[in-house]
Amino acid sequence: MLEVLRAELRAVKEDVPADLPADRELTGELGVDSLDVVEFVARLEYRFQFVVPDNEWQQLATLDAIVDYALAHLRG
Amino acid sequence: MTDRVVVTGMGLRTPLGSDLETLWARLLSGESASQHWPDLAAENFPIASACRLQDFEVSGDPTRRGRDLAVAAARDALTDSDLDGDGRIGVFVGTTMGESAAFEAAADGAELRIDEAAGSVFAAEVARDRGLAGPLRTYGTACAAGNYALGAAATAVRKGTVTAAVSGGVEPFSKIAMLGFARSRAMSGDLCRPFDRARAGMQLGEAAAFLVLEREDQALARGRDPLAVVGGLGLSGDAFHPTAPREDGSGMAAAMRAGLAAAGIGPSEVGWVCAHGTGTLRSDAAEARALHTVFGDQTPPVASVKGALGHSLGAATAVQAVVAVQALRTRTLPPNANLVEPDDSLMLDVVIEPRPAPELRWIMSCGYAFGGLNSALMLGRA
Amino acid sequence: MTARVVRAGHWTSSQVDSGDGAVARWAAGTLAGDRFQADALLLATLDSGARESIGFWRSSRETGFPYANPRPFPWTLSNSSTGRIAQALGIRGPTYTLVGRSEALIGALGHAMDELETRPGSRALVVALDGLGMQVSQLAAMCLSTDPASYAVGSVVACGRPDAPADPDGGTASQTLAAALDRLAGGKEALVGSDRDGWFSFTPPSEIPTLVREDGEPLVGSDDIVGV
Repeated sequence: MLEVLRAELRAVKEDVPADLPADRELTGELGVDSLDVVEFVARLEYRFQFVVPDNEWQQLATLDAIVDYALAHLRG
Repeated sequence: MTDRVVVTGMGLRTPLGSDLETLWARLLSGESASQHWPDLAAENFPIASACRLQDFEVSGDPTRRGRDLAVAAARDALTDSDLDGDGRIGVFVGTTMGESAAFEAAADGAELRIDEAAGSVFAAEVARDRGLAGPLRTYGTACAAGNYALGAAATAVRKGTVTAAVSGGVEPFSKIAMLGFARSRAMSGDLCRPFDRARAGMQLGEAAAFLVLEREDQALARGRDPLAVVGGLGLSGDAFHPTAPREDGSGMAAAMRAGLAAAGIGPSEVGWVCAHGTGTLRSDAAEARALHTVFGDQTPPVASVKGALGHSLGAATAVQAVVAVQALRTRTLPPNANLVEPDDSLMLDVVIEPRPAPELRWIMSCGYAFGGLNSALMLGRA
Repeated sequence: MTARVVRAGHWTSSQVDSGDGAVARWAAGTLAGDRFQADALLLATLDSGARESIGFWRSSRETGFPYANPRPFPWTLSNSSTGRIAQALGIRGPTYTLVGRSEALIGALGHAMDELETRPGSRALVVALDGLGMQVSQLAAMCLSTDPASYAVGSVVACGRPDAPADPDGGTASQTLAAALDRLAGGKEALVGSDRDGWFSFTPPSEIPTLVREDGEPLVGSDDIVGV
């Protein structure tokens, strides 16, 4: 799952490293801007066919958080 | 000051009214035009709440909605100014998406006739409808476009390039924008709450609004009482990011300062700021910062009309100009709709109910577009 | 007021929309790469954002609206190209986007002259950007200055109705500007405009005051019309 996320993130922003830490804030030290995150979430929604409501997408701040969210929503 | 440029007529089509009295009364009452639209929900738009004109159909062809709105509002403005079509009357229009429905139809397989879909069609249609012989200018500067059109019209009138100008903005409801802003996470699911602690984004609107501009000496010679003075337009660029504004508001502040300079006035003479106020967390915060940078502790009262009317993109600042003119005439500041809990961190005096302003002399009307194009139009008491 | 053309060029590209502002990026990169610099930017376009709008709507239909990718959306707005160019060139002064055909170019030229008059010593960059059909993009650009010491490849001035005005050929702003620049490069005058929108005359270097070399020969640079 983490590799899928990294690949999708690289599709949004090419210079993202292959070993991007999963526990760090994307928009913090990793230089991803919030619009990139919006697009990243959109790609994941399409890929996994779930919708992240507007009041929840900003919780998806790290790759780990996204993995947890995705697994929870795929199961449901 | 005989080369002053004045407003002598106005015409509008908005979600809260298609005549000035109705719009003004509903704005003063704090009403919001936001509502749920079953047709948008049925098409699976992520957000189905927006501000649209009810029962506006002229040609019945959605790919002509912008032209229909433009012609209706322009006819009213010219009638209001009692100006016939003679002379060299220019048409200056701000728009963003043009005839959005035509591009949507083209994506779905219809033929695209670019000259009937691009934003330039509105000025052409108004000129054709009213037989106007002056220059046609269309500004695609999005949320600032109406200001650009009004500023350019005022300059043309002042220089004598045109004998009068029909100027404003046109934006028919755009499903492309409805989807784009929602998926960009910039849109509120229900109400737009500018400057509110719980603000959650913009609401999309649609509108057309035109103001007739002419030289004051010509207006008086015709026996027309000017409605307001156009003091000038301030512009600046952020050169920062395709969509996000500079967070320190420095670009917005530069436009404000340029507006004050164009009008030849100081910050203390501004009695009301008709804000850009889209209701997004970042943009409202940047705008507040910009206001404090320019006005210091003399920041005037502020209100956005986007809670009431939604964001009508290219028409937004034209609608704001109509509202500002009416505020100057009635010496009353309209409220910022949907404000439940002001965001105190912004430190703004947000107008929450109609406020008498007997000393009102100048209004600054602001629009800040994607791509960091910043504008501040100065309107003054006649 | 006469403005000097201090840098100019026109280019075409098969670079088309790919949903991430590719055309805007190409235009910005081309101008930055050719060292265009200015204090104000005035862009004329008919269809900037049109192909992007169609592309965004089409792809959103494919994914379904709830999953539509927002990346293409900013590029559906015609002034996104203007913003991108301003960003690449660091232009923080006034930037304009005029929509239409040659009347948009006339409008841009008029605003450019106003900017130069308001800010003596500044530079105004007039750009025209259009698609030719769905597969090709055309860019034309001209940097104007009133600085008499600036090196000029031509001049532009608003003029009255010419004696033998040609009907506007209905071309786009970029076609019209490119044709005018080609005439300048060939040492010929060009007229752009219409009765409705006003007229501008483009004059080649041999007819304006030029810098001279040490040997007294005039320093004329039609080679400096880059990209022609």
